[in-house]
Amino acid sequence: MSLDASILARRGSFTLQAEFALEPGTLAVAVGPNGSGKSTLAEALAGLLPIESGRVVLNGRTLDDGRQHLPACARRVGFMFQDLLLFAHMSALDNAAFGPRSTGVPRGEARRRGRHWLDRLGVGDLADRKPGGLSGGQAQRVALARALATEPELLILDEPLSALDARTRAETRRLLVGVLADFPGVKLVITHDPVEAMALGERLLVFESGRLVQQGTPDEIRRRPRADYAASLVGVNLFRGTLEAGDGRVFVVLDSGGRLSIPGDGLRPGEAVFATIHPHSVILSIEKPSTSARNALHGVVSGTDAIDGRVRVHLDAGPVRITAEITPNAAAELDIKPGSRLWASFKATDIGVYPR
Amino acid sequence: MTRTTPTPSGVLAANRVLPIVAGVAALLILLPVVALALRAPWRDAAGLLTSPGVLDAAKLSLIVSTGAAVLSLLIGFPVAWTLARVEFPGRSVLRTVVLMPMVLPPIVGGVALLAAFGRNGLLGGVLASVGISLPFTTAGAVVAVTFVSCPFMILSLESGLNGLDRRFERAAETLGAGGWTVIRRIVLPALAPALRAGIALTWARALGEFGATVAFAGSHPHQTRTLPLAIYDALSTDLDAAVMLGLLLVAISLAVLLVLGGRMLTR
Repeated sequence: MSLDASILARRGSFTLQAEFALEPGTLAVAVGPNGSGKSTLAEALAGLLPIESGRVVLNGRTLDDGRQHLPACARRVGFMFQDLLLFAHMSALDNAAFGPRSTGVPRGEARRRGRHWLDRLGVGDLADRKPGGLSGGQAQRVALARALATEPELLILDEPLSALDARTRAETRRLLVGVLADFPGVKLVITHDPVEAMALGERLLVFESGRLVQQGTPDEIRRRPRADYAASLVGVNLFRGTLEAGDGRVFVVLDSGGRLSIPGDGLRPGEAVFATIHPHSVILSIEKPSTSARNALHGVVSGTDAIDGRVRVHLDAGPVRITAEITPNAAAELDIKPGSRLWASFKATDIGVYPR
Repeated sequence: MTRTTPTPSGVLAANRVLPIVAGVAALLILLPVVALALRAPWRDAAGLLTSPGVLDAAKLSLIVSTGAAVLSLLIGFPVAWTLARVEFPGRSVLRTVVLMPMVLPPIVGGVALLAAFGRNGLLGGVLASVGISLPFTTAGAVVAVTFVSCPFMILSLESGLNGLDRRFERAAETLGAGGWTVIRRIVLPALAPALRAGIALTWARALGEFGATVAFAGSHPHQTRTLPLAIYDALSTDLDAAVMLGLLLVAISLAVLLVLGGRMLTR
């Protein structure tokens, strides 16, 4: 019982490349910015987009191998669409019973199954309503019931929470987590929201410009991000470079230019590495910091964001771009605005280094 | 985003002039109908309308036009689906062929049908050998009327199909629905407005059909003499009857337009 996918898919000039395996029971989340390929992935898995080459194997059944494309209706892949796509001319119950009914289940049994899932999702009392008479959160539940009533082997939820307002979202997320925990098959949630991905996912697939750039548990990705989007996901500064030793110290010489001083235990010079620095480890100052143990970069503020009562300051320091997280008070004292010139400094021991 | 807006005075001038033209056009269309109503021998109306010939012709018209609408639907949906959904090299050729009866003079269509399905026509022998004879029969009238009115169904359904949001069909597929199920349970219900409009247009066109019918099916009482043919017949013998029959057709056509074409009228 598992999903094995190795996909090369094309839509227009866009190419998606991804190779991964998912186990049932684990909630996987595909995350990436818009246009990163996660929706194309979902369509390729569901049979809505034939792949060009590779293979998609679900529980031993080959769904697609680039030559033979099993049609969507024969895949047993449930799909909850971002826009829900509830059938407007059918009641909630008929929507939920549509899947079983279409696969040859007798009418009475199909309706019984539809009702079971509507009840399970807490919208059994709305069974006779047409989609036009449902609120966003209710429609979401009906759509999920409709997908689950087909008893799919793979369940894909495309942006399940993005259309909801904040209050409905929290409630729906709780419900979603509960229902998905009971779902025995392979389950994949698609989202562009990093916070949602880290909160929901037991396994993350990180997409960037049509590539699967990193996969792992949220903890693995938090500790060792390997792609720019993964780094922004967990909110750290990510640098690529090569180890070099000199003057009795060890440096990461950055691919973009510049170098960082790091503690030099057990690292081999010449090795290609990632280096990470958490923004709250970066100190900003107007004067050049005097302590020599610090890395110091002089740069220009390119922008600021406010996140959870903290201020994130983005600094262009020549070839290096770095983000610092400081308190609003500190930001006011430093009089930070785009164009301000500042020093960013951080301790060697605050830099995480791991092989590329 | 910047947007170039036409100078207000220009828009206002057009908005004043064009509705006047539209109003004149509406009056020109209305005038003959009003004239017809004024000319009608209302005192004898009941007698004229209930005479056996008129009742026969009216009944026949309903049968023929309804038959043609049904036949047009059965032919029109597959053609419209093929035009809207199937990609193939001869698509524009197919569209040209099936829409041709719309631009063909109906009487030419009737003569052409005679050449194809007439007793001495191309396929007349084949049809006769299986016991089918179309010319000068009610079935023949249905064929002639369908020939002329079917393009209206095809156009209406094709534009309806092109206007559908196909993501709903994809959603149905992921729920396990095969092609026929998707058509039956998703496409046809969503196509209801286009179906209604298509039936209204086809039926209205069929009701008034004259040329193809008279050429292919002739004007035989009880068999092929529909209301338009009866009007033509009456023009030379009994003008009062012709006018009354004409008003009857106007009333039926308006009723169809109002009942079936509601969406078309108010959009």
